[in-house]
Amino acid sequence: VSTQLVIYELRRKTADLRQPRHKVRFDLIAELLTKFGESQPYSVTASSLTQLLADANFMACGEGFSSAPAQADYLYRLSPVGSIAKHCSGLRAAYAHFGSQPAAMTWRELQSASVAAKGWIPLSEYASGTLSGFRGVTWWSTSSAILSETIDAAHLLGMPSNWIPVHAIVLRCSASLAHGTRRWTVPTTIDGIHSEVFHTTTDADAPAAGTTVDLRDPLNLREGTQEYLATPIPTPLIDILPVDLPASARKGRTVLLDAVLRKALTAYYSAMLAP
Amino acid sequence: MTAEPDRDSLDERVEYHPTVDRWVLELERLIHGALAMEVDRIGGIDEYVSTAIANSRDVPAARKSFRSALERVVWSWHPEQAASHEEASNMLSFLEAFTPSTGFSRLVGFLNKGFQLGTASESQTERSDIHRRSLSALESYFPAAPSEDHMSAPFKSYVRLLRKYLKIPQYSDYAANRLFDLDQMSLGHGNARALLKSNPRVLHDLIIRLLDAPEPESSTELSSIYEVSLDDGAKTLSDFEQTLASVKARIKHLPGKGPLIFYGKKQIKLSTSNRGQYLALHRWGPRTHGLEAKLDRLTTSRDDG
Repeated sequence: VSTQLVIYELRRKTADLRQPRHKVRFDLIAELLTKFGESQPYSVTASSLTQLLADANFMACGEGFSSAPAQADYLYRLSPVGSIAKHCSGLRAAYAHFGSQPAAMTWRELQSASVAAKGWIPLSEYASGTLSGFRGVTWWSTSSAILSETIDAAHLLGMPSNWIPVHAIVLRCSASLAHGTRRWTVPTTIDGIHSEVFHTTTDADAPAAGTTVDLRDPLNLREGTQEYLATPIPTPLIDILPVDLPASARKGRTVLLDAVLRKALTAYYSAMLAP
Repeated sequence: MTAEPDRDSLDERVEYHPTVDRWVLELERLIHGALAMEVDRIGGIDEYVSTAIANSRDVPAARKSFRSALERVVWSWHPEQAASHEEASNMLSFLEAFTPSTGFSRLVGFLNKGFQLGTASESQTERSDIHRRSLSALESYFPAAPSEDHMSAPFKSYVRLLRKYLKIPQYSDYAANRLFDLDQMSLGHGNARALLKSNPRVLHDLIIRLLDAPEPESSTELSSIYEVSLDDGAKTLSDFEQTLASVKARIKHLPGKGPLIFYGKKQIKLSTSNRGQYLALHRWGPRTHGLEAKLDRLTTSRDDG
């Protein structure tokens, strides 16, 4: 039996136990996957993904508890440069090529701009609309370690090495500006349904934030740090900083989503079902 | 729970075993969309590969075997037989990002055959998109002109292809810009005027280029284009002025001085002295257009009736 399928079944049971209000929607998405011939949502084909992205239940993200990110100046996010180009609305005409050229080229252009600006650059220079992400939402944390210890911090956020792009962008959103203009939510089991790495919080605890799975030690997974979900954010609230993460930056810190990590995740999710 | 093959045992990650065969398998999966979720998460097919190489246990070996695998996959690729728009698009992403040598001849061959290519299920928009993407992918092979000593046969065939696409209206602006970038087309000697006459779409890019060109080329050629605009009538003149406005430049007719273009700190004097024609177009242009529109409406309603 595929380990991915085991993970999916465990996650489904955890969802029923910890977030029962989402059971109906979870079941509907599961039915849809079966209809498309997919056994789990983590490695679907392009055709299935296209159909999933057109489904209202799969796209019903950001319906968790409202959340106010902890006292911090900024919220941070690590993103591939290609995703930013893809999910920014109102891309300015001069940067229309960002969406079609290789990621490395877009990254180099942004890197040059960042060097000229001596650091952060406003996202609004490039796009006038909003930033969203896969399924219309983006994931953020208050961990500023992403700026200095990027690889370790990404693992703390539940990102295995194969989800950490070489041509990366760190985004920051001013927490004070974001309050009142955005609805931040606690990630639900529906928000995380497509991801093999996701910690399902317990609704009965009325959590103030989501919790990541700390992957830094793949043989000993544990709860990580707080995370938040955001619906589309106006670009003037966001600054970006290109970060280069080549092989040398990863050496000795590689945690791939492989058989070993999947086995550890199985144990982690099983433990969540224990009484 | 139904029994099915365990992906972990069948599919050891390429990062652990970066052999050519293992990469070929991974590339085939990527091209056919089998890893869509993973690709979406990492921001694109090219980034997926770069990240897999960076995470490999033996990075130089991973890079070398990836390049060999890509050459092998491209060698057996026939664009005209692509099963879908997505498959062609994915392959083009690889060619654009990694420029495998076999890809160049594949692309030139594909583009030389024109618009008969493409799968039956493709829409005209999808075909057009694939042609544009193919041109972009070719650009990666020659981002700049090689030195005179190294004007290779591939470069010459690329230039021939661009000249061919210069004559296709929807690609003429792209082809013209590339030919300029590669120093295969000069703006002097009335070339700009001839180009504009045959390809009105290039007007915008031409003006932008000329504004930044050194004197006397900029003055001579802008004068030439300006005269073409005056000859063509109010619409072209309006396009000329709007293009100037888009880069915060403007044209002024000063008595006794002739037309001048103000562009930043630059003043470009145009050699044309046809102030009368300019004023006539400005005075009568909109009215004439209104009259033409009225005539069009009358003709249309008569035909409809």
